[in-house]
Amino acid sequence: MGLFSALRVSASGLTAQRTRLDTIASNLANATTTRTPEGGPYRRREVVFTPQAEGAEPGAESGVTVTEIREDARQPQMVYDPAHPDANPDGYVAMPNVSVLEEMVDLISASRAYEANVTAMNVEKGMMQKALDIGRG
Amino acid sequence: MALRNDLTTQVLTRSLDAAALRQRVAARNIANLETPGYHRQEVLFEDQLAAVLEAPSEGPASPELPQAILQDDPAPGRADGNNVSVDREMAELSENALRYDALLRSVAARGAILQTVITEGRK
Repeated sequence: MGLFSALRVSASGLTAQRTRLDTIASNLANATTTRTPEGGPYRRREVVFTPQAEGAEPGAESGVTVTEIREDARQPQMVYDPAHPDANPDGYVAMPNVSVLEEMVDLISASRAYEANVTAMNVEKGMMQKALDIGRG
Repeated sequence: MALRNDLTTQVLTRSLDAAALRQRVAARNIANLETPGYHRQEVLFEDQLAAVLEAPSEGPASPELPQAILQDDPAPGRADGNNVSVDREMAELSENALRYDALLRSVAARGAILQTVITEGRK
């Protein structure tokens, strides 16, 4: 109850966006990884957000949570590179289904969403500070 | 007694509660900015309060003050079914912080009146 839970809600937003940033970083780092323990090239991962389960007071105290990090089902990109150690007999290499452009757009969106949560958190802190100042005269 | 639990104090406390709730709801809306299918929520309070306060009063008993109501905004959203607008939430956030501040100042001013009553008697 009270304003403190508003801070927790914003914190859940920060955690969720940070997980998303980590996932994007992993996608970018593995943009040309052709070998994985599961075999085949790296597959792009994406986070799935869901509203957090609601508390005693419906809706108000819950934030957001990452319920799943799932793999993108799109096919690997076939790139012609006969010199590549993982090239097939026709000279094509299965490259990860990561699009650097797409990841960059996602990165900006995640970083802005993170900032929005920080702003909300700062406003909440300001309000709490003012509430503490009542009665100081 | 009158200063401690009169209608004005009750209205102020109830309004502060509504503002705190609205803050949590705005935080939740912002946290779910990118959650597919999420509908923004909003808090209804001031209109109900005005309706109660403007209604003609019966007798000396103070009217029953309304509780803040939480409701889903059914407005159509983006392609992913989410209808949170970050600009709107930010505007709501700053408006609500100002409202909260104004209410707190009123509470403090009432405290100051009480203080005056107590200290002036000593002179």
